[in-house]
Amino acid sequence: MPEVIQRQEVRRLMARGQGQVVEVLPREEYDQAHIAGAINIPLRDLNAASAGRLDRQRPVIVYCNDFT
Amino acid sequence: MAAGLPAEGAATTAPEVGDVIRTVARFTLDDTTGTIARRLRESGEDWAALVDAGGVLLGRVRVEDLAGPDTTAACVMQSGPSTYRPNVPLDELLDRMREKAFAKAFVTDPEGRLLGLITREDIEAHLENRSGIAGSPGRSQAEE
Repeated sequence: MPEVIQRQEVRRLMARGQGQVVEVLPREEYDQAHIAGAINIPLRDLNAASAGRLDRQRPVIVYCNDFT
Repeated sequence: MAAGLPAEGAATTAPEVGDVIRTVARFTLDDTTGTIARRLRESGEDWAALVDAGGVLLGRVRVEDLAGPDTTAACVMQSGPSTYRPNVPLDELLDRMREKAFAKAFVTDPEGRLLGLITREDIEAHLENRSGIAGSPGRSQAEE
């Protein structure tokens, strides 16, 4: 079930090795900067095959660009 | 990008606001101007931040705002100060400071929680030190 979480929760999950962070921006933007440890699955490439890279047993943290 | 989280990538080597944040005195709206003035005198600071219980920045009090009779910080604060995010490139903020003639600003996360203060003096010192060590790489990127 999707839910919105804040940065502190992202930090907590990452510190415990529990979260898989996915940036859905295009590859070029991912190459410029991304959250350390995040993998890149551009939104346009998101499908069952690409999502197969993810461990279904662990939380998946998806982010893009908030421009704030 | 999720500002404030550790980052990787080609653009992350350029110096950013988050690299040179300094701490700033924090008070609540109920603190008295006398208390704030005393603390600022002791620390040598000339700005204080007013925050709520969650650390969200509410306003600014400068040392010159504290000269009147003792009252609460809420009565003398300037609300809605300009803020910057930690992932803003230092060279961009420095350009803006020169253009708009200001010397310091608060740094907050995207939720408005206060992270600290950035000063023109600190930026210039950081960039000068950096250029002395490894040339002046800089980066041109649109502000967030």
